[in-house]
Amino acid sequence: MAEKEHLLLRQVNPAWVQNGRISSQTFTPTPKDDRLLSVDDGRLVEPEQSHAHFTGTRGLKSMGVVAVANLEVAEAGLAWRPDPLPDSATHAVIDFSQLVSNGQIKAKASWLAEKARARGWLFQPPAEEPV
Amino acid sequence: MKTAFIRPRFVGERFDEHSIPLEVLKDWAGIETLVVETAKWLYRQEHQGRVRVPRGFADGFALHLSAIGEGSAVAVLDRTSGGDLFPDVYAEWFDKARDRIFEVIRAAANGLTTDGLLPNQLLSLFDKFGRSLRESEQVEFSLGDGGVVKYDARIRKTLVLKTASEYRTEEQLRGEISLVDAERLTLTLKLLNGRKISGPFPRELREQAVDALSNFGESPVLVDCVVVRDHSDNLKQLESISRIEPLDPLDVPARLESLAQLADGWLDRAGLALSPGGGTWLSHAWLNHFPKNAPLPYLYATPEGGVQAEWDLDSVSIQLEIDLAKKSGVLLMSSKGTGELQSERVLNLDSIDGWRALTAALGQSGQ
Repeated sequence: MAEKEHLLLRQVNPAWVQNGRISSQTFTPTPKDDRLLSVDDGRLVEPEQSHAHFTGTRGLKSMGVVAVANLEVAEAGLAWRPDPLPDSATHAVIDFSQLVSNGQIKAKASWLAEKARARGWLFQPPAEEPV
Repeated sequence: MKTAFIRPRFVGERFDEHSIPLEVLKDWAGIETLVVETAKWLYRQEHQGRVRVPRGFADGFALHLSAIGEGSAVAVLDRTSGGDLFPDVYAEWFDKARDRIFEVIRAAANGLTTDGLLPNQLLSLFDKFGRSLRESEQVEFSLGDGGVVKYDARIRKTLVLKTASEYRTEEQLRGEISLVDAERLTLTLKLLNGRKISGPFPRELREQAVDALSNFGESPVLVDCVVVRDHSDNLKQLESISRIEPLDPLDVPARLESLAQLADGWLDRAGLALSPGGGTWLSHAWLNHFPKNAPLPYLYATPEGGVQAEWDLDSVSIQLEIDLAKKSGVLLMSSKGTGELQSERVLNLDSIDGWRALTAALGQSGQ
């Protein structure tokens, strides 16, 4: 029996969904992220719980949860590592810091987003409307 | 017999080909009524005590479009009269009316009072004249003294609101049809900002209305209509509908209108709203410069208040991050197979060359 994929879960902002397609920006670290993209370790938390923590406890907006596999992160030439926070033991980061330009970061993010699109939504709340 | 009357010059992108769209010409019928009613009022003013103008006063007066001249687009409007056998004895009153109308427009344009120049009931006739003028368009009238009077949507609104609490404009609204009453021939249009507005539609548009209703939640529509707005430009009513056109689900102006609703803080309490006026600029630039047969992108807001267009082509991913304030974009092409960056360049989207470069990149990648 094939081993279950080790997924890294990512919340999707409503403004980054159009006609069901997620933006590549979903996997692009913003300047405040310091080239470390926040994810949840899918071995420690279910997509629905991850979404509940993000929207409930933290009070942020998410259209749902998508994911990339740890092997895909490695295939992109990137690393990931656990990064537990006081309010989130499941927190992890995908590290883009070895890439030298924003263009390279965006190219890799686009590739990861394509993998996540192919995998599809792991969880979507029933009532959320995209922008 | 024809006599030169006015030569309005239409200024704006729609008139650059030295032609005037019929939709603009049709609301020029309103100026004929305005001139006739103003002439009658001036005549009565000069002849104190007369309740009515003489019989046949306006019978010989009509405006005809004789030609479209060069110069953005100049409409040659002549007035016709009864001919040599029946000289138009009241002609001077129509010339005086035209000059008085120009005086009123000039006063409104300069923020001066129009009191005494025209009575309120005549000012309200401006509501039927120039409805189809868009924000960036104006009409220029040459005066006998070499001066020019400019008339645009702002001046028209000023004049109409002097005597009314609302005004009408011809507009193109994007949204989704959420309700159709086939018996009463009314529909509800859900605008991209979430607001709903209802109004009547003609029987010949019933099929388009029902089709649009069945596509609710999937594809927006473009609705050509007359709307009523108040002093603060709030939409009060959908007065009439002349066209319903289905749009591509990825229609860029519609998507920009949706993204313009985002407020500061939209992205995890950070994320800036779209730059003021940026969405409108990009919408116009897109319609003017992006080829109709090129693939449409998905479009998303960026944390910095810009937008990012994304295309998925066969072997290439293309991202264009647009800075709405600078009117420029960074075009990135990367391999879908490996995620390697293939090219990166800055495009000046305030120049046709930038749009040509984008089109060329899409063309090459699509082959």
